[in-house]
Amino acid sequence: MTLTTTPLGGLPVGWQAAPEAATPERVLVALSGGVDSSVAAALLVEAGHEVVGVWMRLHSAADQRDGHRKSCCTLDAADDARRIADQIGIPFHIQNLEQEFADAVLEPFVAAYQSGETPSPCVGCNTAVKFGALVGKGSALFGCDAVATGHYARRAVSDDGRSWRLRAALDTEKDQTYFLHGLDSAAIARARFPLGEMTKPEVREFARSRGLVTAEKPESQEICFVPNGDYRSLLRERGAASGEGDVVDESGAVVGTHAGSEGFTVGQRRGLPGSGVSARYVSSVDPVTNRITIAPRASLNVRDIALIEAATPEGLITSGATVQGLARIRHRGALAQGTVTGLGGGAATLALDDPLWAPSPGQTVVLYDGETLVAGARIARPQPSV
Amino acid sequence: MTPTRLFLDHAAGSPTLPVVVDLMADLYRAGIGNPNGGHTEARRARAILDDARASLAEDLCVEPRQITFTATASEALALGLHSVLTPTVPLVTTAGEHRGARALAAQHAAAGGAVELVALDAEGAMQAAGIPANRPGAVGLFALASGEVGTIQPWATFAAAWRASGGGALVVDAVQAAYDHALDAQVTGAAHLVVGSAKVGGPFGIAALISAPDTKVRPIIVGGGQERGRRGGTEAVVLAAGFAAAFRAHRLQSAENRQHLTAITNAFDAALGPLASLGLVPTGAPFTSGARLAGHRSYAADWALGDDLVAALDHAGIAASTGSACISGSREPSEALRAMGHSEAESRGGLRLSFGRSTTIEEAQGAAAVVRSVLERVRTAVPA
Repeated sequence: MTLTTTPLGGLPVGWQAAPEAATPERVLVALSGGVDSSVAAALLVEAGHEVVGVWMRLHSAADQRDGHRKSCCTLDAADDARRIADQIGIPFHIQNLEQEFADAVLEPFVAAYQSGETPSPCVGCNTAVKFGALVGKGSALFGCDAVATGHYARRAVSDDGRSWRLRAALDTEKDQTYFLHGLDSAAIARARFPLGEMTKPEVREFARSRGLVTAEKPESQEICFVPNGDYRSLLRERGAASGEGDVVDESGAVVGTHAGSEGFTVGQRRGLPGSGVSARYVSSVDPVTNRITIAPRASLNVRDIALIEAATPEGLITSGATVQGLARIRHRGALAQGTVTGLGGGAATLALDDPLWAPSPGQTVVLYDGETLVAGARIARPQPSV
Repeated sequence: MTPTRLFLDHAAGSPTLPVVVDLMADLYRAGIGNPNGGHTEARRARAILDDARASLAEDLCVEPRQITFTATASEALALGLHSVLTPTVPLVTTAGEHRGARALAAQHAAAGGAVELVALDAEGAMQAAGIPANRPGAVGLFALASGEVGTIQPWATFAAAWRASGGGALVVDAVQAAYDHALDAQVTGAAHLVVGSAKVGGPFGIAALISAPDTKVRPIIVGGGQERGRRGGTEAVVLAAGFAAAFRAHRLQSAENRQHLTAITNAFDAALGPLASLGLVPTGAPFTSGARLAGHRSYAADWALGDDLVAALDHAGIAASTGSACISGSREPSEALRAMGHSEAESRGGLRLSFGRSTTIEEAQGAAAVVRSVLERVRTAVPA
């Protein structure tokens, strides 16, 4: 499979593809126990770099061995990571980042549901843990200059060599820049994404050709700290689950009940009354009244989206500053041209030329300039569409 | 990676002595196998097992019949405890025991049994005054010395106080102590005492339970009547022979070893310089004290996780340990350090360096320079 372009277009003027390291580097590789990070590590070793493998212990779900096999964070995954390190001949260490993970991912995850938002835990994990705390540890403990992962992403550098941006992976189906948007220019400079030019089948084939034990391992897709995808039981354990509440239509009339507002996200259809042309979707979740509002599909098209934590790789978007680009509000979702205007303190608005459907508070917005990621933010409260 | 490595984790088990490796290889090549059978080959194996048992018995001042071979020290400890403890009998232990012992205490508690802890002082020594007075017949589970912080317990005083308080059977972990000094199992007053092989330069995979003459061993593994019916399963004859040979070699050189280990740890301390300048506090008995395991140094840092320090030292070529066995990077604080009054942060930042008879003065001094530079780098890079 050969891919030459992405729907995002090429590199913008003034930017170039990040060059390969001219001399061998000492690189920390976050091994998850899956095939992607295994191949990333093996590629770096074959390119002559000095590689240190680590597996991150992030939470107590890691103590489980059964019933949660697809996760990157179980003891089985740690065993696989250790075996890969042994196979490719690199040192291996377990790094405990439970505290950092709890602060940056777990607590915000619970708080998001409590405030009626839908969290995006992978973004926080990438920003604060993998390319935050882990980078610091790699440098402090092992003198590593860079941190590599098995993400599908690339990097771009400005012509003057001073600024860095994420660049969409060659395989647009696998591109993960959406989840990496929180990395700032300095973090991107130290990040390494050896799989950025590869497709998944190529990664599998590489793993097979080297006899890597993870070559045929299935993809992990669930939230790593939520066994069996049951996040509501996690919320119940933490006393963050709501009880039964009303489902209302756009006029405010009660049309049914729900078993807990944290089970719903904007744009959700499952578990709601109506079908066919009368189908209704969640248009808002109000944690204060524990009330879910539903509306016809067309009502969820939105042109103006309120943002928080709006930033470019150079820092927060300041008041009055604007950033233009192709906006995306879901991983691999539809793209629409838009302009972000800073309001100060990270608050901003996104004005879209064409509406996007059902922006969900708490989720991520990214903006691309060509195939480079130029800004990212979290969705605050959507404004009604015009 | 630094190509040269220095192994400073002897408290977790020393590399098998070359003379022991040779002996075992010869026995394996000679086809030594199952000692149970009515033929010449079995008798030959049985004779080797008998010799190993007799040799170990002599070294520990007991009769051969008092010895039960097990696969590990943890198993021997479990077997000893199983022999004297029932759910209605209270168990007295400390927070400073080896993980295997603490797990046995937790198991007793989970089965509804009473568990009481004897307090440790700031140096990790058991407080005789802390023995519960209202528990006559209680079973005691104690180590003669702490592998984690290197403290040798004031055992004679403690055991006398235990008897005076009406305490019952004692199950004693002598694994670390046996590396440090010669032992007379009888004198300890233990109903069951555990020694291991790997700590004294013998092979991994074998240990022994030494039971007092009149004390019954109640098997956990029932089987073909091996070990006088105390432990089912074919005996590991060659491992037993290696264990006994290593134990004998170690006993004969015990005084010499202690002298050597004292000299190298003194050299290491001098080369490392003041601990406070590295952000470390010493843990356990004072380094110069006779109440400390020879060759054992332990510290705590309140600015890093012990696992991180071990990883950074490993990368610089030194095999070290946190001292408290933990699973997959768990960041639970060390219960022993907490019980000794260390802060929670310090109790997560344990570091142990344990030297062996093969370590040289020059290596110890070189190690000090590496440890200093690694700790300084990590401390600068990772603020508290």
